[in-house]
Amino acid sequence: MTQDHPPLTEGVYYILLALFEARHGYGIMQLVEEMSKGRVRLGAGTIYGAIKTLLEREWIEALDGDGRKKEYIITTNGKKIVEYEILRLRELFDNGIRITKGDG
Amino acid sequence: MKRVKFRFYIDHEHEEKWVNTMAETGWHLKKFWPFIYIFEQGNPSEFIYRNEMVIKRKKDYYEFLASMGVECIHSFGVWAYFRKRREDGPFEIFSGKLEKIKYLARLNTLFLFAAVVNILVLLNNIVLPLLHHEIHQEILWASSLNVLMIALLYVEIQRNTKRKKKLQMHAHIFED
Repeated sequence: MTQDHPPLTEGVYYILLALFEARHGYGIMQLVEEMSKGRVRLGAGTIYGAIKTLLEREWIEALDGDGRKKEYIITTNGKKIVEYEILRLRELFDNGIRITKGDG
Repeated sequence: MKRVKFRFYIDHEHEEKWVNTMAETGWHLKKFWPFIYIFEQGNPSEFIYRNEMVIKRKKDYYEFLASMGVECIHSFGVWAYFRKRREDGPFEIFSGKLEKIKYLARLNTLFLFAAVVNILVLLNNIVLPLLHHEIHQEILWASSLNVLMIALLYVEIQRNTKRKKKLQMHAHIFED
């Protein structure tokens, strides 16, 4: 892990995962809630802010369509970021299991 | 049926709580201005209400929220009230700690600005006439309102700072 890939927030990680398929804001919110079994509930303003930032970074892009219910999808850049995050999560997970099981 | 209520809240959380308590008894906020709130009768607990300081929020923000099932019922000056159907589940504008911290900081900037304006008015009304030895009763009354406002703003800034600190402590050890 380098400074180039700081850990993502849980919300951004799930939003990026949700956008492996094209979705609008409401669809993102629903899927994230479903994937986390209701644990992660993103605020409407939070999703708005995250989408703006992710668009600026070009981790996601907007699909053409009517303005009211715009759909978004993850970009190649975004997918790379998710891959790095999964590696980081695996490191956390592996070390956790290795050390706690060692004691058990 | 409509009902007009007169209240003064300086604290956004206290105001929001009151608006939601009204909604639970079937009175839904329709319009508001400083000190004045207009409610309309409807089904108890049908909606959850949230307020937000909407400085720099543009049209696309309201459109995005509308697409999420969030309705902006009224905005006045820098304040807006939003609502969402309770059956759709919990409703928050911000879910992240860092966002909440930033929001509280922005609120405090606004309050600080208001306090400075009040202090300047106070100085202009009191200190200058004092120097010239001509002070009027009316000016004293007006000034006492300024002093009250400054005191309220001070208390509110302290309260928000405390909330911010609590969130920051949390952010030290927990994920956003």
